[in-house]
Amino acid sequence: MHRKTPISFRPIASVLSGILIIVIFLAASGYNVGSAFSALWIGATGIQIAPISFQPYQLAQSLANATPLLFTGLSVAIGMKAGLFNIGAQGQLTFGAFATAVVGFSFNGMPAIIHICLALGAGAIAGAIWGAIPALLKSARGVHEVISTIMLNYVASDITSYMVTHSLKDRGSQAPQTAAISKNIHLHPFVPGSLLNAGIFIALSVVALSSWFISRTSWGFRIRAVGESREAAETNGVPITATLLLAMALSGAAAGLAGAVMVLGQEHRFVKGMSGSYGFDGIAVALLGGNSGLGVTLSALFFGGLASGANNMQLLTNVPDSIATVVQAVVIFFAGVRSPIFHSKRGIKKMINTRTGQVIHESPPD
Amino acid sequence: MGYKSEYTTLDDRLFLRSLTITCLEMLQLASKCLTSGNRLLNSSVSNHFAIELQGITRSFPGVVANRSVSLKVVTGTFHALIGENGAGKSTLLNILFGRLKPDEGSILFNGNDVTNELNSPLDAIRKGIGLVSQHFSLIPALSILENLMLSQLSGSILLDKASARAKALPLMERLGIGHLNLNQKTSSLSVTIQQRVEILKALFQGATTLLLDEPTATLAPTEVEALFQLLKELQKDGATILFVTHKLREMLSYSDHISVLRHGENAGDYETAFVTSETLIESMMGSGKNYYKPEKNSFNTDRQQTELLKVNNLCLSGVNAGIALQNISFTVSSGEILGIAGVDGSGQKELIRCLVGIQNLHSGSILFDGREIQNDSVGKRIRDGIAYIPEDRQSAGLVMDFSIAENYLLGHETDKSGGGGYLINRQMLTRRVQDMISTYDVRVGTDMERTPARSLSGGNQQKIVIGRALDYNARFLIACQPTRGLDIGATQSVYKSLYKARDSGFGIILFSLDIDEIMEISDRIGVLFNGRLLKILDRHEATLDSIGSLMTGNIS
Amino acid sequence: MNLHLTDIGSFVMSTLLGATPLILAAMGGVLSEKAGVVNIALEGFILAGAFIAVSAAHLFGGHGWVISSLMGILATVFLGLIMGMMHAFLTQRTRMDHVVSGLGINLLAMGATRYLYLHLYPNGVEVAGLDRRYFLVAALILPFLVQFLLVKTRFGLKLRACGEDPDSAVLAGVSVIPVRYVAVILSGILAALAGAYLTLGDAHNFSTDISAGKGYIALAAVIFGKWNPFGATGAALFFGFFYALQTRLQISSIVIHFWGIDLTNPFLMDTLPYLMTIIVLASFVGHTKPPAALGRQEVL
Repeated sequence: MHRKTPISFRPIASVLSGILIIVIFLAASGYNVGSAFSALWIGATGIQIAPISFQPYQLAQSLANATPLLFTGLSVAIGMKAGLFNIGAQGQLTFGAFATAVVGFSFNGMPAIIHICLALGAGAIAGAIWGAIPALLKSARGVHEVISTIMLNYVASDITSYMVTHSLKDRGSQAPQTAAISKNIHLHPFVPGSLLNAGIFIALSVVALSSWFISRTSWGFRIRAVGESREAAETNGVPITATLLLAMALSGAAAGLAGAVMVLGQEHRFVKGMSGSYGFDGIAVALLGGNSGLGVTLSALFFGGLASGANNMQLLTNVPDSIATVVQAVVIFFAGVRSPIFHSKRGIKKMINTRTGQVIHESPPD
Repeated sequence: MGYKSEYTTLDDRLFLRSLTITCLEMLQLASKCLTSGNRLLNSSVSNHFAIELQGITRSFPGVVANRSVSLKVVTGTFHALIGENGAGKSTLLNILFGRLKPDEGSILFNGNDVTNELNSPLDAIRKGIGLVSQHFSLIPALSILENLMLSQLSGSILLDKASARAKALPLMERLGIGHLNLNQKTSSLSVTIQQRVEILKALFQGATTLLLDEPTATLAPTEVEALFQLLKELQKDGATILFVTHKLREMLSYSDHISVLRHGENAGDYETAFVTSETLIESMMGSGKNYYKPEKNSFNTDRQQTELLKVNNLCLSGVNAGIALQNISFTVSSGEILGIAGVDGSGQKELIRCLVGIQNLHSGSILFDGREIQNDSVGKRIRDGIAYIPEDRQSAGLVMDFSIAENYLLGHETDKSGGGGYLINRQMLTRRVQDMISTYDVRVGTDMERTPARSLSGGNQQKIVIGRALDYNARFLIACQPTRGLDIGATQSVYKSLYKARDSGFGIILFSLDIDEIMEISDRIGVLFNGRLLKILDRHEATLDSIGSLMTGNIS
Repeated sequence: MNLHLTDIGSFVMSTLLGATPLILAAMGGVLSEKAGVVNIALEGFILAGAFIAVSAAHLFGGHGWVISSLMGILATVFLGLIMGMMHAFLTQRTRMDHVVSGLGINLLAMGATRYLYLHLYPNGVEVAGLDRRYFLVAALILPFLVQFLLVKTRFGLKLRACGEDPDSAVLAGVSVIPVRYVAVILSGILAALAGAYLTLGDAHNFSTDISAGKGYIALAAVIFGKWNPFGATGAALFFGFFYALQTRLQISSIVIHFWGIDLTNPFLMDTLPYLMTIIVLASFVGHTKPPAALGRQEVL
C-alpha cells in the first residue's frame, strides 16, 4: 500500500520535468517555443489540434520507434528484477540483429512462417548468449556486470563491424552491411511509408509473457527473490548462479529480439551502426516504467513518441533532436531518486536539517 | 534474557559472588555518600551532572521510541541504563551521541544546555563524550593508528604519526594493551582487543564520559569481569560511565546508579546499593499484565538415540579472513537440542555456513539420515528436511520487500504441496499462510498478500522465519541466535516453538552468544573455541562456570 | 620491419599520449571510488569537459592561444566542479543508485553537448589549442599527488574511511557527505580536464562522440589498478600501449591472419582494450578488494 503512492506519482513528475526541460532549452536557445512544441506534439501523436486533423504516418512512426524500446526496456527491467544492471542491451541487440540477418539471408526457399520464427529465434538466442556472458563473469569471477556489459557493447559493435566489412559483407554494395534477407520474411508496414509493422505485436506479447513469467512461475519468483535480497535468497536455497544466468539470458534474448524485429521490419539486413542507441534508451524506459510490464509499455510509448516528435521538430524548426536525449537524462534523474524527499513533507524538512552531512534514521535503531 | 536467570536458573555460586561484590560496593558507596552526601542531595546544582536529559521525546514513523525520558548521570559515577530490547535504550544513546535529534526535550552536558549544538557525533565528541558501540566502529581496512588519527578532531593538514603514537602509548599502557602494534589493521584483532581499542579511541579523543552500548554481549564471562575492572579503574581516574545493557546481573554488581527504561519511558531510578533484582525486574517488565511466565523447559531426559545429523572431522581453512575449523565432530539425535556456546568469532559463522551448504568443506563429512550431504546445495538440503533460522532475519532470513506469503514460499518454491511448483498456486499458498499465521500467532494487518515483511515487528518477522522453517517437511533445524533483539514475550514464543519442534522429533542445533540462553534450552552443550569444538557436556553436567571457562579455551 | 630508435621514441610517446586522458580521468575515478562513490559518470565529465574547453577557447580565440587555452581550462575546471557536485548531490543527498546517477549524467552530457554543438556551431569549430605535452606532464605528476593526498594527509585518511565504513567514520567524528562531495568534485574536475585534453590538446575541434568510452576505460583502469593511483596509472599506460600499437599496425600495412581472421583489422584491434579489461577483471578482481562501502546506499 504505502509503496504505491510514490510510484504512481513519480513517473508523472518525471515526464513533466522532462517537458519543462525542453521548454527551458528551447527558450534559452531562442527558438519559438510554441511552434517547436506543436511540431513535437504532431510528430509524436499525429494529432493536429488547430485545424484538427490526424496524420497516421506520424503516429505510426512513434509506434515504430516504440517497438525496439519495448524490447530493450523489457530487457533492462528483467535484469533489474534480478538485481543486475544490464547496460549491455545495446550489444545484445546488435548481436541479435546480426544473427537474424544471417539466418534471414541464408535459408531461402523455406516456408515464410518457419523462416521468420527461425530468424527471430536466432536473434533471441544470440542476444541471450551475449547477455549470459556477464552473468557468468559475475558469478564465476565476481566481475561487476556494469563494467562487463559496457565493454561487451563495444566488442559487439566492433566484431559485427568487422564481419560486415569482411567475410559477410554485401557483395553488391560499398556500404558496411550484410546481404538483404529473403523477401518472404519481411514484416510489412501497416501505414505505407512508415516503419510500423507486426513487430509491435510481437513486442507487446513478449512483454506480457515476461510479466506473467516473472510474477507467476517459480523461476520468476526466484529471479525476484535474488533481485530483492541475494543474501536471503541464497540462505533459503535459491540457486543463485542458475537464477542470474537465466535472468540475464532472458534479458539478452529480449534485447536480441529488438534487433531481430528491426532487421525483419525496418532494415531488411544488418547495417553497421543500425542499433543506434536503442539499448541505452532501454535503461530510461525501464527506470521510468518502474520495471513492471505495463509501466515499460507506457514508457516505451512515451519515449517512442518523444523520439519521433523530436525528429519532426528538427525537420520543421531546426531544433536539434538530441534534446530527446536530455529529456531521457532528466527522466532518469527523477525516476532514480530514492530519497524520502519526494515522499513526504517530513522528508523535505529532514533534507534541510541535515547540514552536517547525515541523513537521519528512518526507523529506530536496533 | 539475561535477567531471566535471576529467578529461574541462576547459578548459585555466581549469585553468591555477585552478592559479595554488591556488599563491598555498598560499603564503598556508603562511604562515598558520607563524604559527598551534600553534593548528591543538592542535585539542583546541575553542573555535577555529566549528562542530564530532560523530557526527551523521539518518534519514528509508527513508533514512539522515547517518550519524555529524563536521565541524570552524576559526574564520576558508574551509571547503568537498563531495559528490555526495544525499550528505547539505543535511541536514547544515539540522541546523546548526536546521531539523532530529539523531537522534544533538552540535553545538558556538565550543566550546559547543548540541545541545539548537538548535530552530529562530532559535536558530542567535542564535548567529551565517547561511545563504545556494540558493533565496533573501527574501520577494518585501516590500521589502529589510522583509526586513532581519524578520530582526532583537529590537527594539521598532514598526518602526524609520531605525535599520535606518542599520545596513544601511555593510554594503551593504561588499558593493558601496551603490547599492540599500532600499524596492524584492526580487522586482525580479536573481539576483546577491538573493544579495548574502541575505548582507547574514545580516550584518545579526550572523552571524559564513556557511553558503552551492550559491551558484554559478545564477551566470555571472565572477559566481562576484566572489562568491569578496567572501567572501575577508569572511573577512579575521574571518568563518568554510562553503561547500557539488558543484563541486569552485571549491573547489580558494578554500577552506582541504575535507570530503567520501559516501552520508551522512564520506569525507575535507583541507587544500586538499595535495590533488589526483583524491583528492577518489575520496573523493566512492568507488573501484572506484561509479566510473562517463562516457558517451562522439560528437558528431554529419555532420548531415543536416532541419530539425525552426524558431522565427522569437518575441516575448513580460513576463508576470507574467517576462522579455520579444525576436526569438528558431533552428532545430533532426533528429539534433542544441542546448544553451541562460544565467544563471538570462534567459528560459529563458518560452521553454520558449512552445515547450511553455503560454504564447501575442505575435508570431513556431514551425514543426514546416514547419507552424505556435504556436496549438496543449500536448496537440496532444505528440500531434504534441514531447516535454517539465520542469525540476521532482516538480511538473510527474509526478503524485506516481499509479502508474508512470498517470504513463506521462499526456499520451497518448487514444492507442489506448499503452493509452489513450476507455477505458483496462489490459492494453496494463501491457505497455508493463513494456517501459519494462526498457528504461530503472527500479528499482521488484514492484507497478508501485500503487507511487506518490512512493516512487521521483529518478533512477528521471526515467527514467519520459524513458521517457514518448521512447517514444510523439515526434521532438522539449525537455529542461530533465534531470539536476538526480541523482547521477552517474543523470546518466550520462540522457545515455545523450539520445544514443540523438539518434542515432535526434530533434531535441533542452536548457536547462541547468550550463555544464559544456551543453559536455558539445550539438552546438551558444546563449546566452540577458536575453530575447535572443545567439549560436549550433558546439560546436567554443565555449569555457568564450566561453560564459561571452556569459552575462553580452558579445557581443564 | 626495421625498428629505429626514433621509432621506439615515437611509440613510447604515443603510448604516453594515449594514456594521458585515461590517467587524468582515472585519478578522478580513484578519488571518487576510494570515497565510496561509484563513478560511471567519468564518461559524461569527459564529454562535457571536452565541449566546454573548446567553446571557451573558441570564445576567446581572438586573444591568442595562451589566453584562449587558459580560458578553456578554467571553464573546464568550473564545469567539472559543477558536474561533480551534481553526481555528489544525486548519490549522497537524494541517495540515488550511483550507476543510475552516472548514466543520467552521461546521457545529459551526451544530449546537451550535441544539442549545443549543433545549435552553436553548425559549421564546426576550430581552436588553436594547447600543446599536448602540458597535459602529459600533468598526467605524470598527478598520481604522485593523489597518492600523497590519500596516504599522507588528514583529508585523505577521512576520504578512505568514508569509502571503507562510512558508519564508523561518522562515529569517529567525520562528516561523510562533505568529504564525499569534495572527492567527487575533484573527480569531476580531473575527468573534465581529460576531456579538455581531447579537444584542446589533441583534436583542436569537437565531435559529438569524442569521448568514445574513455571514461569507462578509465574506470576499468581504476579497478584493474586495484583502486591505487599508481596501479591505475599503470593500467592506463597499458591501455595506452594498445592504442599506440593499434595506430602503428594500421599505418604499417602489416597483416596478420589467424584462421582466416584479419587480426590487424582496425575494428578487431579496437576490441583489444575492451577485451583486455574484461579478461583482466576476470582474472584479478577475485583477488582485489574494492573499498568496502563502494556504491552502498547506506542511511548514515
